[in-house]
This record gives sequence, C-alpha cells and structure tokens, in this order.
Amino acid sequence: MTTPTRDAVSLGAKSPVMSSDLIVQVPAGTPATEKTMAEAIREALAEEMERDPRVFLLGEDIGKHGGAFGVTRTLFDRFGPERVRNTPISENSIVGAATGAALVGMRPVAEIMFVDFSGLAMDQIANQAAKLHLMTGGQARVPWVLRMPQGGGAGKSTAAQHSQSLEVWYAHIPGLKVLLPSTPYDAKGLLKAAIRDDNPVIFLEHKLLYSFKGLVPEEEYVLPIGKCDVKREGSDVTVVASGYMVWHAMAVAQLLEPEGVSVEVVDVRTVSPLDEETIGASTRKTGRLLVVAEASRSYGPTGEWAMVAMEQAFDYLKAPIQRLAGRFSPVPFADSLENGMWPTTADVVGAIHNLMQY
Amino acid sequence: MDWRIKRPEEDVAVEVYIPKMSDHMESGRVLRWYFQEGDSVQRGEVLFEIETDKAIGEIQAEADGILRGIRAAEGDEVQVGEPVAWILAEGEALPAQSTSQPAAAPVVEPSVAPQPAPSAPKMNAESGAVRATPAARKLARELGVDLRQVSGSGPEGAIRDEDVRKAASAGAGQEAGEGAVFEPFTTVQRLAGQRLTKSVHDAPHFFLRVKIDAGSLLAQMERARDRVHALTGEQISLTALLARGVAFALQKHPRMNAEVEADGLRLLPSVNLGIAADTPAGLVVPVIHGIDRLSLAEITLKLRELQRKARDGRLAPQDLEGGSFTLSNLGMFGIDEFQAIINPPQVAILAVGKLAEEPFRQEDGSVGWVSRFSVSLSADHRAVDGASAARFLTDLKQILEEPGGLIADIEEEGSLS
Repeated sequence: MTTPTRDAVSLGAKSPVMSSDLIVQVPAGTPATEKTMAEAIREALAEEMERDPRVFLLGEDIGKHGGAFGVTRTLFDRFGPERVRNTPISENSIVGAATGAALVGMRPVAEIMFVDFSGLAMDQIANQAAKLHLMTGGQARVPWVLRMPQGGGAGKSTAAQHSQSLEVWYAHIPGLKVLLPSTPYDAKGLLKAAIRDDNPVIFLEHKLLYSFKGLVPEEEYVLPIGKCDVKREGSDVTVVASGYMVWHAMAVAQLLEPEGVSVEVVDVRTVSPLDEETIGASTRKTGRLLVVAEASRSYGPTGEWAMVAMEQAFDYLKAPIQRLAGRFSPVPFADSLENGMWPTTADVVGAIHNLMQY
Repeated sequence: MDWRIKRPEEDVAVEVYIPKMSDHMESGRVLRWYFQEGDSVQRGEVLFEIETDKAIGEIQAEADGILRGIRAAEGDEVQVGEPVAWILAEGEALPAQSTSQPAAAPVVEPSVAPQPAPSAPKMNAESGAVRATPAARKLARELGVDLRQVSGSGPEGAIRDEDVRKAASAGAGQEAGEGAVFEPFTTVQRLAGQRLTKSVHDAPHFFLRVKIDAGSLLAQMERARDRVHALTGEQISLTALLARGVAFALQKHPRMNAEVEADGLRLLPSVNLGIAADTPAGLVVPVIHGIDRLSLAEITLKLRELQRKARDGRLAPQDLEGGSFTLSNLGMFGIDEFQAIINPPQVAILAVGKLAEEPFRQEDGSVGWVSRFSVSLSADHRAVDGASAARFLTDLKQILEEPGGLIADIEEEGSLS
C-alpha cells in the first residue's frame, strides 16, 4: 500500500479514469438502457415484487424517504405500505422479523442501512437464519435477502463505523450465500437470483458504485449465484478482485494493454460459495496472480483466493502471488488518511509490474 | 567427517595418508593443520582439514605419538595414498621411506563416529535450497533439468520457467549445437530403456558369432515360394525360414528357451519367438507364440499379420507378451553383423546381419562365391556357458545350411492345419 499521491505521481496523465466504458456486459444490438447501480437494484426489486406477491421490503427509512441511498425510492408509492415497510432503528428485529416471515413462506428483502450496523443482528443472521435449514433437516427454509451497503471511498468521510467491507464476516458462516456485485448489470441479475433463492442471501452493495452507470438489458435475465465472472480475458496476469476493486483492475488492464501486458480480470461477484474452479483455471492460464479486495488484509478474502490458487494452480505459478487489500485499521475520518486506506490503481499497476518481473 | 584408515596395527612410524574418500577422488588439498611439527597428538584428534572436489573433511590421528615429518603445507595438493606426515614414538627416527612413494593407497571407509567430531564439516555445496518458481520446478521435473545448474533471471536470481527451458535446450545443445531441441522419452522408450539397462547391468552377456552359408536356404526358399503363396496368399520370407530354423534349434536346446529367475532357470514348454521390428513409433518385438508347433505356411501368415499390425501400431498387448527368445535382424539396413542386448528374462538373443556375396576357396583352389550372413548370439552366462551356446549355434547353423526340414511340411502336406 502506498500513499494516495502515488496515483498522480507514478501514473500522471495516464492515470486511468473510471468510466462505464470499462465494463461492457451487454452485447451490441441487445436492447438495453444505461442505468446506475441504484436504479438497477430498484428495478430488480420492483420486477420481483411484480412477479411474486410474497416478496416484500422492510428496513429503516425505505418507505417514502426511499432509503438512505435512495435505492427504494418510488417503491412505496408503487407497492404501498404493506409491501414496503418502514421499521424502527432495530437491526436485530428487522432480521428476526424477516426470518420469521421467511419461515412461514414470505420472501422478505430486508435492508440494513450500513453493513457496519449488522453486528446488532448477528445472532439472527449467523445463528438462526443461516442454520435453520440444516437444523430442521431441510424442512424449514429461510428465503430472505439482506441488502446492506458497504465500503468506503475517497471524499465520503463516512469514517470508522460506516465504511467497512465486511463480506468475510458472512462468508465465514456456512448456510449463508454472499454476493457483492460490481456493476449495474450484475447487481440486477444477482439480486433477482438472490430473491428467488430458497435460503438466506447476504447482498452487499458498494456505496461508491450506486452512482456507477452501465448498460442493463430491457429483457429479463437472472445471473447464477456461485460463479465468478471473467470481466476481461488476458494471458499474462490474472487479477482476482471484487466490488469496487474490479473497476481498478479493469482500468489498469486497459492502461497496460499498450505496454503489451495482457491482464485477465476475474470478478468474485459471488463471495460465497466461492467459485474456486474459475480462479484456478485463470491462474493456470496466466501463471501470475494478483488478488485485490477492499476488505481488511488480515484474514481477508484475498488470503482465501490466494490459497485457492495455490491449491489449484501451484505447479503453474510463475511468480509469487501479489496481494492488495485494505489496511488493517479502523477507517479514519480525515480525507487525507482515508485515501490511504484502500488499494489504488497505482498499487495495481505496481503489483502487476512486480509479477511481470518473473 | 570421521574417516578411519584400515591398515595393519603398527607400533611405530604410523603414516598419515591422504585417504581415498570417494570413488573418483584422486587427490586432496590440505587446507589447515591443527598441529605443528613436533606436537604430540592423540588417536582420534583431528590432524588437518582436507578439501576434495566434493567436500571438506577432517583427518584424524590413527595413533598416539609425536607428529613428525610434515611434508605437505597448507594449500598443497597431495595424491591419494601419499603420506603427508608420520606419527612417531618418543625418540623414534623418521622412517627411511619418508622420502619415497607409498606402494598403494589404503582403503578407507566412512565409519560411524563414536563421538562427535570436534567441529561440524563444512560442505562447499549449497544447502540445496534453490530459488525457483513453482512453474519452473514443474518444468524442471518434466525436462529432467537440475535446478542447481540453472541460473535464474528473475528477481534476486529466482529461476523462472523460461530459464529452465533455456537450460534444457542449452544442455542438449552442448552436443547437438545451437537450435537443439529437447525431445523427452515416450513412456515406451523409457520403460524399454529401463529394461535394457537392467539387462546390461544384471545379465553377464557373452557373444558368439558364426557365418551361415545361405546358398541352400535361398534355393529352398525359391522351391517353397509358389506353394506358400498358393496356400497363404503371402510371399515367403527369409525371416520366416530363419524363425523356423531358430525354433527347431531351440527345441533341441531347451536351456536356451527359458527365463532366468533369481535362483534358477525356468524352461518353457513351447517356443514363443519374439521378432524385433522397426516401426514409425520405434522398436517393437511382436511374438509368434508356439512357433515350434506351426507349419511354414502358418508362420508366414502369422509373421505377415504381426508385421502389418506393427507397422500400423495396432499390436495388442498379447502380441508383445511372453517371448522366450528374440530374433533381431538388421540385414535390411545393410548391417554386416551386430551384437544385441538380451531381452530379459530371456536367456539369449540372436542378431542377424545382411546377406552378402563372399569369396571362398573351392576344392580345386580357385575362388568361388557364396551368399553368407552372420548371426551373433548374445547369451546370459548365468543360464548357459560358452560350450552350450556354441552347440546351439552349431545346430542352428546346420539347420539353416541343410534346410530341407524347414520346408518339408510344404513339400509333403501342403495344407494348413
């Protein structure tokens, strides 16, 4: 990890720009509209509520107000107070109510305003919802989705209690599926799959990505849970990333292309269950692996991905696996310090250069 | 390192030698003396450090006494067996041979140290830790490259897979020149190589050669040609006649038609003759099982069938198994004669050279011409001795030079059983 100034110093005018052109997932000619990730999520919720009367929403300020990040805006007017339910500030009860409703056949989609607050509901999530299907010998099902914004970002200054990336809290619990989309297309397709899944799904939304735009098809589609997505094919280096870091990887892949470095980007859009085969296959193909995540380095997802690569591709590794991850520190409030918390595009460039030494 | 010199016990004038510490060691360099001229030493004390091409070791005193007559200084290279000093009793004079060369190098064997050596030996080789990527290690295993011999071009000298690839082609290139390509053995080649190496190593080969006059054989072959063709639709071949001749000879010499086992010879009830064949995929040895019970026509048919299968790579495992003796013919390549390696666990193999016109002295003293070929028998001396093998070869020679019996069944019956 380096200071944020490295972006400017080492890359200068070549510093990559985050643009929706970086990730194109809809083939040319397919009817599609550009939407933000927030809009894509809203569309998924609305479509599933239209499709299935058992689907309803609950959470803090999600009604008239439309949620802290505006994701559920318009849905209250469209579906009414029965299906878009405001709750008190009571995370444990939100999840407990969702679990109870799910057990009796509803398909609740609950929102926790920040993933950081989900600790309050941890018993409901980890000890109740995650385990009921197994403990009842498959008789009970808990088909809820827990939507939670997470992550930090330069300039947002949401500080230590509103900026964490906590996917491994949930990926560590058997019985939970954990999704972390990086694009509007993925967010919509994965959320629809999550709502239709018969057991609990943790759906994490990176706050910085809410405003990112991307093409979303007019036609209905559902994406598979449990698969990585190869966002870009390459032959020299594999970058395994998730969430916001996928954009860093894509930007750097484009930046390095003229230098003759061919970068493959594997998006771990399903954090759990982890698609080990795709990580293994890509690493065997390129022989060089960089793992990038915003979550804390210690015991973070990057260590897990690197181990998977070692298990699946050891004999193919041409270079030591490189890791970029969030600093192991509470996120500071000050801009200058917050900017140093997470891997930058310059860090990705540096790590790929390290790999290409071999 | 504790090296003990095995030599007769002597009361006086114990020579301090450079011992032979490995098979290939010819000399050693005295690195450092721990004692000086006139020092008293005790049996087991380290006298000096020695460096060989492989390692650094220590030489211990073989007796109590006074170190005298040191004639190798630190840094001197000394031949194995040559004395570098003597250990004498109090007041004893240096022996007369202190200026002459010793007769022979003493035999040295490493022994289990009864007590720890004063200092651990320093090995000049690296500990064996090599900095290399997993991909480079895998490639090195596949290409048979020793990573310790490869220089790495990665960070801090790490060996990359590219380095291994270069080292592999450079290693092959030392003999074959620039642009050499490494071609790994196929499984068949590797297994055959292991078998034959074991044969050369385990079976004491000896070789007998005899020239066969092929005149009658060729004449009989012509006599049988039409009949064989009528019966089989195939052309008779010299190989078929040779094979039959070998089968007849083996019937008379059952010890040649056997398998060598650790403590005996297993005589086989029928002759299963392997016939070495060159194919696009390399050497194969298809077997004509029970050839001693087959007619010439049947042998011709079977031989052609196996030759076709061999050429097309369609030989089944059972076509290749159970041979009791092998016939190898390089005559078609113009080879005059050669010696073959026994195909274990068989007792012997017969190598056949090319047919050639050779001059000979006729009874009236004039020069005539005769068609001859050479056969060389390689035999395992554990199973047969020279005289037994010679009797076999003499009988074979007679069968092939008076070959009426080889085509008798064609002449008499002319039918396939």
